[in-house]
Amino acid sequence: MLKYILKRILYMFFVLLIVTTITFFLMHFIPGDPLTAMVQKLPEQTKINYYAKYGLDKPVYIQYLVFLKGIFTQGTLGESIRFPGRNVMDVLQKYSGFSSEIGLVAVAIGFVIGVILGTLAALKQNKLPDRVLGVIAILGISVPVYILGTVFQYLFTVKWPLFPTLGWGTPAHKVLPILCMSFAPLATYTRYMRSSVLDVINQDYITMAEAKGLSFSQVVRHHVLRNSILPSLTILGPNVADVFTGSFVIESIFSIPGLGSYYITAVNDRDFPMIIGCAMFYTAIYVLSLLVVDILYVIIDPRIRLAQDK
Amino acid sequence: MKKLLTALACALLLMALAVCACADGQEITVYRTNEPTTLDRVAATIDEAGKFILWDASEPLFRIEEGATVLSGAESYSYDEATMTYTFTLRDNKWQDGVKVTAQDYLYSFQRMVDPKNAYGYISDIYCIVNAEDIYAGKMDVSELGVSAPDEKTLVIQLNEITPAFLEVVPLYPQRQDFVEAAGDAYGIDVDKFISCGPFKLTAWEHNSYLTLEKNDQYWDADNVKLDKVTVLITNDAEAQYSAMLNGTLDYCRFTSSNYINTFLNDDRFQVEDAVLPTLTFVLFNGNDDLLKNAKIRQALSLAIDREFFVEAMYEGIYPPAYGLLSSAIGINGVALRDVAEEPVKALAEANPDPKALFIEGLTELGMDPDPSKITLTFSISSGATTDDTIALYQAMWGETLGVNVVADVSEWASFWSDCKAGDFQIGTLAWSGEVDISFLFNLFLTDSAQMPCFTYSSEFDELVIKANKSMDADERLALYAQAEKIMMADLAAIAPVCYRVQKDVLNSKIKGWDFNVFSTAGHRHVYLDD
Repeated sequence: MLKYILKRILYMFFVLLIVTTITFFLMHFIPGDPLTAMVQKLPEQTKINYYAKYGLDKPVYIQYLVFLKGIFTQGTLGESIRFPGRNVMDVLQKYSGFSSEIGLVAVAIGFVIGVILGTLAALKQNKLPDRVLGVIAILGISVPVYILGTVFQYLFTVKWPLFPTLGWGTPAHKVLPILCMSFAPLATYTRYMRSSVLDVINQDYITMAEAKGLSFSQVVRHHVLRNSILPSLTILGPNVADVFTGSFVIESIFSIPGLGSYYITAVNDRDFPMIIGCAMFYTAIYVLSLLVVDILYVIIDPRIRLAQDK
Repeated sequence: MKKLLTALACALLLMALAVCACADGQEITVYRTNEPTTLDRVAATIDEAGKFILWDASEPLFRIEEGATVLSGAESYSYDEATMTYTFTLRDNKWQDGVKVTAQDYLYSFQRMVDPKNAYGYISDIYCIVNAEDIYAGKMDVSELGVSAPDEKTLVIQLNEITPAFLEVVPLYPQRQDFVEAAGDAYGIDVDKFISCGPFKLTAWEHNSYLTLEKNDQYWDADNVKLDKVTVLITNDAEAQYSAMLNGTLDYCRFTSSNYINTFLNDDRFQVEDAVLPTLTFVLFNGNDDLLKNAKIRQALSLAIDREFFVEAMYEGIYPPAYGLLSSAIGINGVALRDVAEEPVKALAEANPDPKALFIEGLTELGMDPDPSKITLTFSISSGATTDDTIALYQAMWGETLGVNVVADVSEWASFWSDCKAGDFQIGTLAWSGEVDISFLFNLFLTDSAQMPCFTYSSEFDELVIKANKSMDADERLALYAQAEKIMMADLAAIAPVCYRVQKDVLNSKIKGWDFNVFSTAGHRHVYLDD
């Protein structure tokens, strides 16, 4: 097991290296550079001074080598060009924390409630609860988070002023963003859970369990849930990564100091070090969450083996 | 499970209560649409949001209040015309930690500005200071800059050319050497990497979320600063701003859509004010065109534009119609050009009540067929949300009044503008913004500047503008610019002004002392809440 995990982590570094390399060259091929996003009437002298300061006057492959050297010898991702003085690593550390405070909680809530509701819908198939949940699930998937955020903001801060509108600091600031962000995962997990539970309750071992005389709740908890949760787990990995990339809209509506806005500004302003930093961060999160999901598989379903260890 | 739910409900309720128990007092909340990139006034990346914070957190020698330059960090100043030298005497101001603000601090910020290492972006604004250009190009040492601090309270700045707008354009902010050097590259990017000496001090900066400014007791004029706290939220979402304004989170907001404005107009919790922008929407004529090279043709086209009708149809009457180059936002030291000179196209209209007759006169002068219906004009415009409406309006106005045909040529901005620059157009429409320096819009039309491709240039206009640009007498300058404006807009009709722009500022109705001038650098120094 441990050996397997170590191997996966080793692979992760290879994936990171490949993603970084591709991103690095891709972003240098798009037209525009950090300077074009700045002041319009830059004198020629300023441009010269600037390109020299950030090494942008050298060929791309040299810039790439310098970048790699920075990572391997000093463990640094460099300094943002758009926001001079802000170290990319520090920004990632600090602001990913804010994003995860909203996003991870939202996914966790969505996952737990989604699993419960999905199971409920399947057990009450074609009855009223199933229909109601079906509508909620479709809404959750199809209503864009921007609309949801704006409507929630109007309802709960203007119509009924229960929560603060904008900003960050108190727990109350987090309620609405979390609510908005948990809606889509909640709907997704409800759908996944419903179909897999429907599949499982028609299996022979469920009939067997019932025949053994287990109570309804025992059957559900020990046999149905465990067997039907795997598909939901599969999408949990990508979902966690989405939290960091997809939070931009909610962050912008509620003025949350998250990583999303840094990523978007970085791409728009061609802030090369920041783009690379964010890309690496997202890749790492994605690969790590896949690993965690794989480990969870084994814990939940002992029939699954990670490696070929017997 | 039930217990858990009850606990959760209680927690939510408590939070809600905590939110509603907002503190009153002299505190306001405003916003910016983006995070300041830096608070280092002389960094290459200083942006509007950064400058906005610095009006409160720093102390320029001069501020622009209600359009006029007023002494702020300087107690007095003198200007010697013979040597082109400004001498400023500083007030007894202190940094937030109690250290005196000295002339050396202002000198230091100038030295950083011209230091090539810092790559300051607006450097051309200070090329008027002796040796600034050479130092910036690395040809001279920073110490040779024409700025000096003979003693703690005196700052001397030597210019190499007459620069009437010097006090308005050049950023005269202090920076403390020991602090800047200790912070290094990180100066101005965080609350602990910045030191204030303005009416307010920066006390919190949560990036991409908010900044807070609290009253600075060390400020020389602290007795007259009435607000205790200014919170600046970072929000770029118009819907969020609307909600925040309605529930009192924000005390100030700016809208351009009438959908939002009507809500506030009918609610006495808010005051709505027009702030005139320095922007002009105009029609650009190609003076090299076989038809448009005739002044009477251009005048007739300009007069055939029904500006009142246009703004009503396009902007619900919010934007004011334009008959001159400068809106009432632009002037010299609090006196707008519009205060002293009437808009020239108005007089032109009075002298020529029938644009069609004028147009036919022009055709005859050109030796062309005097039937306007045989003329087809090509109207170039860059694509946008209102493009089709604009085209239809010009087709109607010129078609009905002059009897000409108008066809449209729509392209996106970059290719539209490069076609214009190349002279590959007949008539185009665009908007351009002026700056606090009154000469900015005039300079665009100088023969040598080649910035505005109207191709109708005039040496008389050039002489007037150049003379005005080099005069230190405000009244004389205004008179010269007024003459130049008349030549450009009426006699030559090189362009046809159409409308100016305004923005709607929505404020909590308790707020007093707000400066609506778009060029204001007053910050929140004079703002207060009054019940």
